[in-house]
Amino acid sequence: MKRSRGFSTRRQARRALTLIELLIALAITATLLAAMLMALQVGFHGYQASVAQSSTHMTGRIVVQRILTLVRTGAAFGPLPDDPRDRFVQGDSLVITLASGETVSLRLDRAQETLFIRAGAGDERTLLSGVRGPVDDEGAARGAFTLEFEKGTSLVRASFDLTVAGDPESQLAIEGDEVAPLRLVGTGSPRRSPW
Amino acid sequence: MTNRTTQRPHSLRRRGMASVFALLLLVVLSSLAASMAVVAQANLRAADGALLAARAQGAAESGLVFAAHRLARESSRFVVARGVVDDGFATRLWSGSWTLADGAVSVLPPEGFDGPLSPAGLAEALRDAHDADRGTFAPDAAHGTLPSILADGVLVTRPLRLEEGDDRVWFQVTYARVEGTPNIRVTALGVAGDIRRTLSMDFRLGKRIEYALLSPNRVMIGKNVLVEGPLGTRYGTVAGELTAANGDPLVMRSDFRDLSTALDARLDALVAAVAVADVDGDGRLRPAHSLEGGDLDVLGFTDVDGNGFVDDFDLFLGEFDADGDGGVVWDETRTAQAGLGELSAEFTGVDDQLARLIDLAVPDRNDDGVVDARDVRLGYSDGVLNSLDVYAKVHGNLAFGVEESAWEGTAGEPWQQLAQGPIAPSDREAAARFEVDANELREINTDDFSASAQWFSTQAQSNFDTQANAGLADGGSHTPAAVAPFEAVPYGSPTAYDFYQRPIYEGITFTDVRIPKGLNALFRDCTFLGTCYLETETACTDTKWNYAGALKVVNASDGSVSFAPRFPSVTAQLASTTLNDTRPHSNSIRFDGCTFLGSIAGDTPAQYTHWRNKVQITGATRFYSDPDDPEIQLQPDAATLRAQLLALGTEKLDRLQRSSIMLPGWSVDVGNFTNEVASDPDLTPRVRLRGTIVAGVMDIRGTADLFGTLLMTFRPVAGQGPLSFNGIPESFNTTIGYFGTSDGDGEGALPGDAGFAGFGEIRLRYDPDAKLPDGVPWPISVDPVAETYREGAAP
Repeated sequence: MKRSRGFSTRRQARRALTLIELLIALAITATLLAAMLMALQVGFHGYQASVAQSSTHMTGRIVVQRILTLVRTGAAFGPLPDDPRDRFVQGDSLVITLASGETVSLRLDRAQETLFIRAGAGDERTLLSGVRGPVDDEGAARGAFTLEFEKGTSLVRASFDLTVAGDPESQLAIEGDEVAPLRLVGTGSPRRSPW
Repeated sequence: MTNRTTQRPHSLRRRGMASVFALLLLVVLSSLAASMAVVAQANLRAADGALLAARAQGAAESGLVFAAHRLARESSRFVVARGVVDDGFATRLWSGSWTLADGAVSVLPPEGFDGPLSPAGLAEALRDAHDADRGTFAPDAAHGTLPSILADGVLVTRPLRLEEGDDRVWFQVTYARVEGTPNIRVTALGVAGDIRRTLSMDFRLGKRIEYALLSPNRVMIGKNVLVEGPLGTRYGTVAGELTAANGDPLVMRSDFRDLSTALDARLDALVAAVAVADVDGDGRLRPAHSLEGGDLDVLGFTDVDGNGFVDDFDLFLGEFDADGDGGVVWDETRTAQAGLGELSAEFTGVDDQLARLIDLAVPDRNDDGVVDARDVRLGYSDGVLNSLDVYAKVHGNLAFGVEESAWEGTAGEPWQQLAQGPIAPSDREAAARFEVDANELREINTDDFSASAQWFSTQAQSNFDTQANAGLADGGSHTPAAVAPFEAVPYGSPTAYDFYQRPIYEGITFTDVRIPKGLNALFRDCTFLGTCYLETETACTDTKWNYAGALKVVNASDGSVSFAPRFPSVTAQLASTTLNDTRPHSNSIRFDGCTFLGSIAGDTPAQYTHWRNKVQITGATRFYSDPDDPEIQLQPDAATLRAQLLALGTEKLDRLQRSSIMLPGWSVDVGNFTNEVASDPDLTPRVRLRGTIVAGVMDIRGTADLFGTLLMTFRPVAGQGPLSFNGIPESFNTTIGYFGTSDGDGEGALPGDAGFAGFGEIRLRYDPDAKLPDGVPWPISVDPVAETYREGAAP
């Protein structure tokens, strides 16, 4: 019995936690929980960022399709080159006159980082925000729209190069990365003849 | 045992902690994995959606192109005589319900597939063509019964998948008539998975003879002649026609001949090089081409204007570009006005008309409908001949009925040595085509125009004398034939074959007038409103009809000149009547400086009799039938012309616009055989012809601007008609510009010949919008109506 008690006493003494052990255990647990929470938060952030990125992609694709459709269906285009012998016009605006006579204007406002659209004599509306125009190697602004003309009036093709910034609220701050900006590049030609 | 009892509790405690942590870790990792999976799936779905959308768009575009080709091919099977395809005729063509009132409609056999030979209409022809695809692909059970023409006339075709084994991507085409227009609307549905895209576009049914000149006789294009549009000739396709003696189907003279001896030598060298190396038949050599560019360096030819070709124009620039700037200045005043600064002239006094012709060609260079400073910046009238003038002898292509080898075998030399000058075909077209099918390059004859000529006949009134007298009372003048001077026929020709003493009418306005048979008049500065109808004897089939009554000039020793019968013993038969002179039974008319607000038409002679039935148009004669013609606005009397045209009424104008000259079987000469240049070149009399011009044979010389289509009807056959007396087909040619007797042109003159006075300045432009007269059997054409292109459901 004594052995038994003695043994029992020893066991109870060994099973009890010392304060240090408790503190260590708590610290480890807290650290692990914190790490897990952080990982979980990163996961959710990543999810949010990806959703935002996906949304930006979708919006970008819609805008690209919209611009290309306007180019394909347009009847006249501007701005025209000052000198009709010049083939290319590069700038931050594109004016499309549809077969119906309606004019649709696209304008990139670099200061506001916004792509505006205006139909006819209506108000200018935001088509896409967070849009930046291209810059050259030295950082100078390069036209977002490039129009190639023939004989100074007839559009051969219209190209655009826009960059949509990622949503800052969806940044993965823990890794120091940002949501990657989306670059929208497209080229279209008016459909004058299907063959 | 002791060990077991001492270790068990310890072991249990450790497992408990690990489980908790493992569970927590599992939750975290599961959450992460789930979120990643969701995100990845969303991205994949978005990417797949975008891919499918792009595929659907591509499928729809493929469907549109496919349908456009099929519509064009099947439409071309319908050969119609009616000149204009309007809403009603388009509907009847579509449904196959045309009537006799629509004129002859014939349907050619299908090409490229086995199908019914005579579909009831265009809709059925298209249905048969789609049915011949024998596709079994049917994404929906209802597709199995297609193609089908619905009750409202809409043709719905069976879907076509774009890849064998991939049923996800396909397109389906429907065709429908667009009421109120002659259009067919093609709607193409493109499908990729669950994504659908719809495109639609209208195609206008029409009738266009896409040639600036179409002739069954040989064609000669001289120096200082620019052609914008295709040229076609079936000469040489009849058995025995293609011989060395009968001449070549086409002869073209370089615009840069006779400018300098050195340049002529270089042109000879280029022609020889082209004959050997030009693989695409455009009369130019590409320096970058392995075959065409091989010997250019050796020959010393360079692409001076930088257009990617070495041609006549480069040799000209190389010869006269003194300062080596790639351009030849010909008019210092124009260069200054164009803002090019004070440049020194490099090409004056050599051939100013050639310089004017090139620099002033195509005023509306940017096709925006107005001629302004932007056109000058593009080279129009800037005083410099350079790459901006986009020079080519022919902007278009050449179509021949003959075989290339047969022609060259007969001629004994490459055809490109006979047809000199650069040819700039439109995109995707060959510069020269041989053995063109008779259904495409059709031959036209006088019978085709009987209905059209009849309309003009009904318009004209038999009150010539009344109208002439009214004109005299209104300030006009008349000189009787007896006191009028004799004039040569052809006018100004150094080798005239006849002489006429014509009554002269001057400054008189005629309205819908019939000019009586045998008048043989000269009309000077007269105005003709509506129809000017020329009467003649149609039964002029006697082979001597040309010659009975012909005159020749007799130069007496005292210097006096008189005229005497050329063939005193020659008579001609008109039924049972013997005629010593056929002039009173025919009409040879010259219009000088006249204004036609309408058309010239006439009786159709049964035989081509160019000595007797002839129209000569000289001076600043103008033709207008469209009140909105931009050219009218450039005229000093624009307001009057427009008002007079509008007064004719819409319906009448519509008929007049179909043909400015409707003289099948007649000889029509435009311009002078002796070139004229005014002291102010801008004021040189210029004949301006518009619209479709129908004649037996035409000669165009001097300074002229022709905008439309020239349709020739006369095919010369040795021993027949006017060729009965040793005539050779070579001499009966459609000539534009000056040639000499060595070219087979017995009426013309070249430098060194008597009577030569320059090469003139002629532009022949095809007008794609020109209306056609009824009677010409020609296939239906299809043109896309660009402004009707829609993405999404059609309105």
